Amino acid sequence: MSIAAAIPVASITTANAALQAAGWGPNNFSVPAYGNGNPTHACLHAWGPPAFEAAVRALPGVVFNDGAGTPAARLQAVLAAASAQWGEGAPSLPSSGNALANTMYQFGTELWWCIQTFSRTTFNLPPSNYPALIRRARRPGEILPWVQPIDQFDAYFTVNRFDGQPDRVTFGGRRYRSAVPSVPNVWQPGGAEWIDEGPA
Amino acid sequence: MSQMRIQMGMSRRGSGGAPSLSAQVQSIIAATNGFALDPTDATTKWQTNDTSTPWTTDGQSVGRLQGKFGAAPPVLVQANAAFRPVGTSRYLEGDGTDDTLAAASAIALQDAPFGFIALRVRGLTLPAGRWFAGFSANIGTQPRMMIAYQPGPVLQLATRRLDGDATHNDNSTSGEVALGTDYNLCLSFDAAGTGNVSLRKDGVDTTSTDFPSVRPGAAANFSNTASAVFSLFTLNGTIFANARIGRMVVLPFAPSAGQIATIESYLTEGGSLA
Repeated sequence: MSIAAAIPVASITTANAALQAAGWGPNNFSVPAYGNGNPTHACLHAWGPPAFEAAVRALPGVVFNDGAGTPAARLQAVLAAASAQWGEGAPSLPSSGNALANTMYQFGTELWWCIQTFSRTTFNLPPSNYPALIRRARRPGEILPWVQPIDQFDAYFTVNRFDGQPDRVTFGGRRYRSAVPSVPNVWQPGGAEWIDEGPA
Repeated sequence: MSQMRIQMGMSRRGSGGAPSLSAQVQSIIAATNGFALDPTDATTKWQTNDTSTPWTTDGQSVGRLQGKFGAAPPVLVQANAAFRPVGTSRYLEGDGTDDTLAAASAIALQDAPFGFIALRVRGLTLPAGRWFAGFSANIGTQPRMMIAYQPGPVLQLATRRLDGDATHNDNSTSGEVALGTDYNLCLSFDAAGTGNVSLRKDGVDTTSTDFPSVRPGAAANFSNTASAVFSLFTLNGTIFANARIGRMVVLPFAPSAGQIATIESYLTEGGSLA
């Protein structure tokens, strides 16, 4: 017996709290899945025990698969049903042929979200050269060098919807966390919109 | 009466036959910070991260794995139910999604001039870039001494000092490894001598590279490992391996050729990972 399950980001906190209160430990839903370049779901796979699986199945809003198959295949099936994609299970960005819109790709250790279908045969440089076509996705908690946000695909947030923590970046050799309330943070670090946390 | 027979049997083996492989490995590790992990030993496994629920049957998840032998064998635990690998009588299997066991503190290689890790492993549905086991500087940072399945596919032994030095990777020949196959791997890191990083697969030395810059100079390469984490199935808590791990041995010193042969036999004795 085992179970693969996914839950919308809006329900992560309550779902994890319910499982923890039942004695199953904190943050069981911890693996991000992406629906638009940003995390839209958290997922898990567990080998049991049956009581834990029952607790997961009882969560409001959960999508699960407790049938047969490999853990990866079943998790992919769950996420397909939830219209989300597993970053760490994403295909490699092709070096030729088409990269497809609304698809997450792995490029080395990085995740990239394809905004519109384009030919990798023609546009064959590293994906950072084509921000109108494909945009780097940030894993929750990942601290990367700041880049100027263009739109909703790469804006920073003070309350990350996945883990409730502020997005953090490095800039000029220092580390910053977002401090803008309510709206996406599109400002360059150094001003009041970011809090300096010290050397990167 | 039965107790007497057991004692007599133990006495006969002790006086006449060769010690078991387990006893030989225990002797190799004795009084050091080394340790062994033995998924074939049901008494070292629990379903929970405490000792309240012993592991008893194939298919139950493992939340606690007690290391064996040595001066202070670590306990590997997992508090979260979803993150626990599944156990069988021969191996642990990580689901490639979120499973890992980690030692809360891992001092086995602290201040040691040499690191040696031997393990029996089988990759399953692995994408490249998955870490089987080893020590990281901390979860979420960098490998100290870890083994990975990387594009090629190759086996990659990654080593790194904690003083800002880059990661030094030693890769096996491309295509030398395959998924669905059991391997006995021995990883060595000579942090005080030549800076040698080497990999031995199924009893054959497959690759060996000297990285002079990893030699310590005044600082021991394995010092400052108070925060080091020994973990299975992941390096950073983000990317996980769908793999099976059988017996493992970790030593803080360079074993002799005879000791390596004994350890490899011990790994094989643990059985198939199929």
